[in-house]
Order: sequence, then C-alpha cells, then structure tokens
Amino acid sequence: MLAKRAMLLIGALLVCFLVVGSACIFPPELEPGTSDAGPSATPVILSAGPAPDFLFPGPIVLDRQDDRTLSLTVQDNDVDDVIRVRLYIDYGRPNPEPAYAECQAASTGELTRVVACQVNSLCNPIGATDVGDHVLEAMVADREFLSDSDPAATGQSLFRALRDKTRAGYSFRDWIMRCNAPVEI
Amino acid sequence: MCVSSDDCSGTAICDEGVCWGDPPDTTSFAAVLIPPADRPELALTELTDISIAADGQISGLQFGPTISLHGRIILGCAVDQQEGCGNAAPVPGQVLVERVSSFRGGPQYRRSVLTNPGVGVEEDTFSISLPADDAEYRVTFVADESSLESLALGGTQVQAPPFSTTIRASGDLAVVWEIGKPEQLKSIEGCVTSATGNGSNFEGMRVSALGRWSLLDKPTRASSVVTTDSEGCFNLKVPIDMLDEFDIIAKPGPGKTLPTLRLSGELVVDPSIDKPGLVHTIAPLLMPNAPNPVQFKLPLRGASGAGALEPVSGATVVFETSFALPVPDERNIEVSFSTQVVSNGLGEDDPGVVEVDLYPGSADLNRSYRVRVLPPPDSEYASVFDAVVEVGTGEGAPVLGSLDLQRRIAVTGAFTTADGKALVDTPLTVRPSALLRLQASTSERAMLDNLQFPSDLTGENGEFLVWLDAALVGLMARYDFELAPPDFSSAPRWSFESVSLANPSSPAGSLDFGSMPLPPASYARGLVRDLQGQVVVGAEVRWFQVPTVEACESVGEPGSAEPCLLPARLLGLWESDEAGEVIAVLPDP
Repeated sequence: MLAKRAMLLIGALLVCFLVVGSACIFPPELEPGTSDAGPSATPVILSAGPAPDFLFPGPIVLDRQDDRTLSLTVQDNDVDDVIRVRLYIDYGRPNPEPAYAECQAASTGELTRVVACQVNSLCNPIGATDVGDHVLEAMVADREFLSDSDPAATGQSLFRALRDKTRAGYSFRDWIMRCNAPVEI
Repeated sequence: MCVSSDDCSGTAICDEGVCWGDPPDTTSFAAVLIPPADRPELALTELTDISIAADGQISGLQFGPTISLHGRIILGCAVDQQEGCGNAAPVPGQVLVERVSSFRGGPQYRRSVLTNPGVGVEEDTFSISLPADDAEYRVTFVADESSLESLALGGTQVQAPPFSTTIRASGDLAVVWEIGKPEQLKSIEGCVTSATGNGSNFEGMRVSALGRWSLLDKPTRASSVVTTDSEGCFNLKVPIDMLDEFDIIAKPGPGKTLPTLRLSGELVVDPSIDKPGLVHTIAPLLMPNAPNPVQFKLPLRGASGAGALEPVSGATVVFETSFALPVPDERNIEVSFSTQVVSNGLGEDDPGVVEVDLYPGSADLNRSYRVRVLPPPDSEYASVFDAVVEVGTGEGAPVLGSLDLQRRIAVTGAFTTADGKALVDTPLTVRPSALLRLQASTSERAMLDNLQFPSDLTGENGEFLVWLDAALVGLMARYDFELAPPDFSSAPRWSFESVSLANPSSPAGSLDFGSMPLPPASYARGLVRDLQGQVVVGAEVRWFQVPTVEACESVGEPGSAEPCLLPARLLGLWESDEAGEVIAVLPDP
C-alpha cells in the first residue's frame, strides 16, 4: 500500500513538475515569509475542519470549554516526521503568551495527515465580557517543542522554542477567533 | 508485515505488504463522516451501520441524503416602525444546530455557521446542510453584539436576544426568522449604583440575563449584552417564551477592573393584555464600597528535583474574592471579583512573578483571595486549586508572600506492540478519565474542561515521561493515556483508561508503569462515497468504539432513555485519499 501510494505520488509530482514547474504542489493560500528555511522540509497546514465551523480565515466562534475537535490537514514532504502543533491566542499582541493547546500526529507514510486538536481551553485567556475578535495562531513544526526552562530554548521565541532549531521546519496559519460569553452555572 | 496471506492471522489477506481484515468481532463501531469544504451540499453524517468484511473491506461509508436549512435572520419591527428593521435589517451572528448523537456515547451533533448579512435583500443570509434523518434539531441564533451597532437608529441600542427553536430534518426548510420583535419580548430595567446612591461610576458595565427555555434545559443567555448608561442604568429584553425566572449579571466592561454582581432567581412576569408595555424594574444593584485596585506582585516558586526553589514561568493564576453586600438585601445577590494573569517568563524581569491588580484589604482586615495556579502542561510543578492568599493594603509592600508549588508526579513507562516491539515516535496524550469527570460536580467539571494536559512522544524504546497532578479539582486524579501510533506500526490507536497514580510501593514523586503492551491492530479500508455513489476525496472519517449497554448502565440509570454518560472512544481520524479510499487501523484486543 505504502509503496503503491508513494509511486503514484512520485508519478504525479513528476507530471506536475514537467507541466507547471516545481512550485505546483504548494497551495496558493500559504502565507509567504513565515516558514523556516532550514534543511528539513517545512510542514504546512493545508486546511482546517470540520467545515464551515473551522475554515480559514474564520472568524471561528468557540464556546467556553468547547468540546469539539479541530482537524488540521498538514502536509510534510518528510513523511517520517512527527508533526507537532501548538495553538496560541493573540501571541505577541502585545506580549508572548503560552500555547493554549498542543497536539501531535505520528507518521502515516503519506505526505498529508490529519492532526486532531482539542479546543476546550482556547477561550481561557479571553475575558468573560469579551466577545470581540482575536487571533488564533497555529504553529506547526517537525521538531519537539521545548520548555522555556530547557537550556536549548535560550535565544528562541518565548513559548515557541524548538529542539534542533537550525534544522527544524515550521510554519504558521492564523484565524480570526471569537469566544461566546460564558454561560454562568 | 507480510509476503503472503499465510503470514496473516485469521481471515486476513496480504496485500501490498499489509495484512487486511480479520476484524474484531466483539466491538461495536460507529463513525462520523465529515465532508470536505468544497462539498457544502454534503452534510456531516453519523454512521451506525458500518461493517467490515473478513478481508478488511469496509462497507457503509456513504454520505446520505441531505436537507438544507436556509433563510434570513432579520430584526423584527415594532408596530409602527418602518425603518431599521425587517428585510432591510439582517442580523449578523452565529447559527448553531444541535442534537444528541445517534449512537451511544457519541459526541453531540453540532454544526455552526455565521450569517452573511451583506447579501441582497432577497438572498439567504445563511445556509446549512443537515442529514435528512427526520431527527429533531435545536437551532439557536446568537447575534454578534459588536456588529449590532450598525443597525442602531437614532442612538438607540439595538437588542437582539438569543433566539431558539426546533426543526425536524424531514425536508428542505426555507425560513425567515424575525428576532427582537417587541411582542416576543419583555423588559427588565435596573441600575448599578454605589451604596451612596451615585451611579455615575458604573457607566459601561456589561449586563445580561440568563434564563431557561424549559425546566429540563440548562441556563443559557436570555438577552443581548447591554451597556449601562451614564447613570449606571440598563434595559434588557428577554423572551416571553422563556421561564419567568432570570439571573441578571453585571460585569465590568473590557479593560475595567470592577466586581461582578449577580442577582439570581429574579421573577419577571409576562406583560398582560391590560398591561402590554409592562417593564419589570429591579431595585438598584448596590456596588460595595472598596478602595481602588492596587498592583501586587506574587512570586511563584516550585521545588526543583534537588530541593531548591525556582521561579515558575508561564503559569496561569486565577484570583477570586467575594464582597459583602453594603446593606442587607433579601434578594439572592453575589458580588465577586475575579482576575487571571500569567506568571513572567524566565527571560523577563522578575521571572516567575505574577503582577496583578487586586482589591486590597483595609488597615484592620486583609482581603482573602481564593487562588488557582495552573502551570503549563509540561511543567514539573503541581497545580493548585484551593490556595488562599491574604492581601493587605499594599501601601509600601506590594509584594506578597511567595506561593510555593509542590512537584507533580513523574510518570514513566514504555509502550510496545502486542508482540513486544517498542512503539517508537508515538504521540501520547493524557486526559482526565471519563469516570473522574462523572465524579466531579458541575462546577468541578467546568474547571476540568478548562485545563490543559500533557503530551509526549515515545522514545527509541517506546518510553515516555509525563508530569501529572496527583489530584485534580480536589479529587484523586485518574487519567486516560491515549496513544496514536504511526499507521503501519502494527499497533492501533489505543487508550489506557482510568489510570490511577496511587501506588504505595513507588518512590515518592515518581511512578513507573513498566511495559505497557497495546492490543494487536486490524487493518481495514473502504471507499467514501456520496449519495450518487461517486467517491469523495478529502472526507474525514472519525471512527468510534461504542460503549456497551452494560457499561452505560453501570454509570447511569438502567433502562434510562438519557444519553450514555460514558463517551464513545475515538479510535482514529483519517482522511480519504485521491481515490476516495480511507484506511482504518482498529484495535483487536
């Protein structure tokens, strides 16, 4: 199965390259300038679902302690990599804050795989009376995220440190996000 | 894994090096089919009639017939109103469609879509596809409060309280819902004032009401969120169709530091024929007198493995306090203040310090705060759910005594396949167990549902390390360890359920589970099709193991018609490929 799929894909890529050039496998809606130029292939988020609830660019509307599962379809040409995703709310707006969700997906042998993320804690930093727009940012990486207390995290962005940073591949995608007012129990 | 079918167990066949089939025969499965974004005519579909043949072929992965719920949501007109309402005033907001799952323990069926008020006056502002399953759905509309200003006329604040109705998915439904029609609503007015009677300080508070549609429903938002005027006064509209008891909640506006007032159980009778314009006036809500908030610093420290105290960064710290009412009141009123901050990072000034604006105590009496500390999920430092911090006046001494955290328990082990091979590079996610959630009270469950839990990736020998709290929200913790191995690792997605950390023979602070074998995997595959039988590319299949009737009855009422309290276990999440094929890797214990 794996061999057959790989052959089909290689064949498709060759055809694609011959017809339209080497950039044909990259969806046009990727954000330019936000991915790493290290030697590892860069994982990228192709889409989010279920639709229409979680489509890019939003706005997506979440409940407090929302029990839905967000699916991210991620492409990584290094098919053996484990994919990690962290979700941040208003990172750097104005201050860097910790991630409010983290999720991972093992290799499937395919170029794309689905990463499932829980969204129950994404509204935690949003004030109870705040029903306005915020930025939900997904950082997808092919290396382990480090704790800030890890010496290898020194010099890296707060709460976004990666192991083996010089070789890591990572990218970002954003949504506009809103949180419904809490239902006080 | 195989060269020929002789290498496979049972009825499985070998194809492209994989043993397909020999599916588990004692497990009940269900699936949720999620259509790709480019197929909006397909609806999210629950499948309870899927089967796996002996050779691993899955049948039943098909989207069924759908119906379309579509239409316009507009602002209702008052009797003599001509402008700013009706078809010319579509209301922006969220349409939410829900029902209980059609299979035991399944996640609630839920779809939501934002309306598009910018379309032409005869066009639909929303459309959503639902399965044509003849089921009853609850539809709720919540207006986007920040966009309602565009509908305001003459400076009047527009109110569009949440709207709820039920529909039956037996055929396409074209609707025009008028919300906020005066004859559907009743008014509640009141003011937030100080104990000395001057309300001018409480302009800009955000006030809303909670109510219930029936005795069986949970409390839900019953009104728009309105803003108090320069006198601190407000006027709310709530649906006449709701039960007559409401809670009124006044919270500070964004960026303001003030207590929250909650009036519970206010009886608001419906207008009558002889009093059609009846407005229910509540007695003033008195804000207690209190000194202005002061910035305090609270050092957060944790015990390192060597015993020294180190700063704890990135921890969320929640402070809560209550105020006594300034004058006795027969009504059920609570006045509380709550704030939440994150402790400084290690690279910042004052690492591990929490800087927070709090209401101070007085010269005679400290103010007590209940404090929760939630370190990052990968932190070695333990959560605290019930600390008490005493706060003085803050004059000359804004630094509070440090809050020192214990260490979490270092939990280790090693996962293997059924035949003993190490499970390498396998994501592990830890969550509170379903049984723990069932033990918790409603408010404890809400706290649990807010928490983040750790994850890890197994190493070369399948080993893992996670730091876990021994207790959660005051309960002895039990966790589910969820693994999602690589698809062709001979191991299925699996959960070790309700794992306890109590082990008297373990050294304090650590717990090793040793080798933890997973059951064997059974591989299955099938094509996802639409109603016309055409394959669907990019459909997501969420595969569930359904709890048995006996398991449900063990935690609930035998024979009850209520949904099962135990959740169906998510076994995998796969996407159909370019050929419309999806692979399922299932546990075969």
